[in-house]
Amino acid sequence: MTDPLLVVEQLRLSFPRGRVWRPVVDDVSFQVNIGETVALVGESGSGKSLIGLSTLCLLPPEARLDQGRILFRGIELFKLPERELDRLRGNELCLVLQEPSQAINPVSRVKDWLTQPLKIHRPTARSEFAERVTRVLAEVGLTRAEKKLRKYPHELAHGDKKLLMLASALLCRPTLLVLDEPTQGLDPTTQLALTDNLARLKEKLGLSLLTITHDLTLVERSADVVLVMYAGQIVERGPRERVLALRSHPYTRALWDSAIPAEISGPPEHRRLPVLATTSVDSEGSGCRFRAACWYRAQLPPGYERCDERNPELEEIEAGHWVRCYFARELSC
Amino acid sequence: MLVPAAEQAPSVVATPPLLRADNLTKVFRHRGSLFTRPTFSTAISDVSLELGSAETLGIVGESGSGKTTLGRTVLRLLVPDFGRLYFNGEEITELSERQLRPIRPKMQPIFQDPRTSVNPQLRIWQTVTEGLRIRGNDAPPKELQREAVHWLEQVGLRAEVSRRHPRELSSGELQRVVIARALCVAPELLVSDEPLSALDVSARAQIVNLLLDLQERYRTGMLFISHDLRLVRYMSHRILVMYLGHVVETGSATEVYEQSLHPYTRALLNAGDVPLSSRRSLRVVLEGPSPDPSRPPTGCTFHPRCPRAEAGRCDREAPELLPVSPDSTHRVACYFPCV
Repeated sequence: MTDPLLVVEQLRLSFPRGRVWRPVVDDVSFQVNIGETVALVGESGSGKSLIGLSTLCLLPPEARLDQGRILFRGIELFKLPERELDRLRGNELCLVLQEPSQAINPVSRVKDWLTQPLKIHRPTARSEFAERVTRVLAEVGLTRAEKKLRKYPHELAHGDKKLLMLASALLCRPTLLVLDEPTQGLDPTTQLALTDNLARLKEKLGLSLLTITHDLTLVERSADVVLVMYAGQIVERGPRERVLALRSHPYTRALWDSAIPAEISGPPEHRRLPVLATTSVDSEGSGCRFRAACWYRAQLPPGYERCDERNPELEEIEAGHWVRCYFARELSC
Repeated sequence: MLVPAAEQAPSVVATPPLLRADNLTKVFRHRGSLFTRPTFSTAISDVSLELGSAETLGIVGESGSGKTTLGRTVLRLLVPDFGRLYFNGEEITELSERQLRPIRPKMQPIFQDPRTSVNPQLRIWQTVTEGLRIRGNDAPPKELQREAVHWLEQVGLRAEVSRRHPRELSSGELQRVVIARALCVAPELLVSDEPLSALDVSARAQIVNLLLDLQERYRTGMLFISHDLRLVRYMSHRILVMYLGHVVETGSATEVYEQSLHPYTRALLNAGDVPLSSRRSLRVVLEGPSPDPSRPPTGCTFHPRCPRAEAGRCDREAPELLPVSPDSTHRVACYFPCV
């Protein structure tokens, strides 16, 4: 049994909407074991980025923690004083945001920004300092790094900035890295290089990763465990091979089906993609949150009211593979 | 290295292609500091292409390969340094802004980030009909609003969206607004530069279908630029593969994707997780980084990273883009193609 590094237990976060609190993350539980890559998949608005932020206790001020806890190495993060948290963040526990503009200081040279975590957490001698920076830049695969470090963020390409954000997070040798859409906006060769580099680093440093993404290719290439989120809840959770092979939740299946297929034929004018119905999600109602958009339920004869009456619980359909659907077993056949 | 545009014989075909570019070249000058010389980088070099109506030409390549510059040059947002550009048979290479004005509505861009493409202070209906107003359509607001609603419905948005502001819409909805704005002026050419990368899987599927529907209905020609190789394959009839500003391979989507000959095309497809048909599953992995565009390698610009390159040949002289067989549309610029 491997040790859990990060444990998220029954997390529920709400945002005010008018006079009521609306849950945006609801009953989310999962864990990241040492050396494991967990991919959190879902569309925008499903609450996945918020989970990324909460693993560092960086909740937006208007958010409210209703219940649940997050344990990092057995320490409960929400109860830690801010000073202790600062010691963890950017050091053992790092978050790489999606947009470089959210993370990189626009008015300082990239080098000054990049080395900040090192200055804060590991004050070291100058020579060792430079060595560490060079090593980390090689690890993430940034080319012509010397020249780029002297520039300001606006002078660099998007892809370079994404790699620099990753480099900055790796400087202090974290044990857990939370990546929010690491491949977005990168070209295919850079994406592949990034996936390979991360795999190598994982091996070398025993790094654990929580990857938040909607890039299904990245999930297929790198994840050990897949969590699929819909409307703030995990609807499917399990080992990558099993989730991808069975796709037992109707949403998981629809999500993968609406991706561009690898092999196609005929002229473009005869092609159309299956579209996932996007209706407003009813997270207050008592039924299954996916029911309005569910293609499987649409096929069922009348008389199946269960979906409208109660939101299904996560249920284990095979070892380690959990699905939130009454028809998971039928769908898995 | 730069060959001046060859004088082309007047076309004998009755209808000229929607868009034709001959030997386009664009060089950027990077101003140095006070004490250093300026450097030059060739963003696109000797690129020729043709695009018919109701046709999609996909452009693929890594970052820095000149895809975006090509798109902007074709739209005449940039003036090419060499080469000629024809739109509906009319040369537009050196037209002034004023002369371009009647042509502009016929060529519309869709860029990556919809938030930076719209004026945040305008209501959606104003954004959609911006093009009409600029063209001097002084219809009363009521009428423009009705026009906007019509186009918003065409792209699958509800009528009430027209009164909102951009900040009230999601990226997916806003990208539809950008498409509606482009369609409002009845364009013949759409240049889409990474139009879907800011969008979710489901929003992406909807926009893909929308673009395909619109092309079928209005016979719009489309230049489709993207990193996403599967997506480009899905959308395009023909493909242009670019490396460091040069076209290295071009042909029908099937030729380029399933019978790719250039080692770079193969490496790119491998990286983009596009399976090659089993018969030709020679795996090419790129060696080393993409070179500095301000100091391109000699000879074939791809040779330092190419597993098939031979010293004495590839590093001396750049290969020409030649048809695979005498009258094939499949053309490749390589001495040692992966046959």
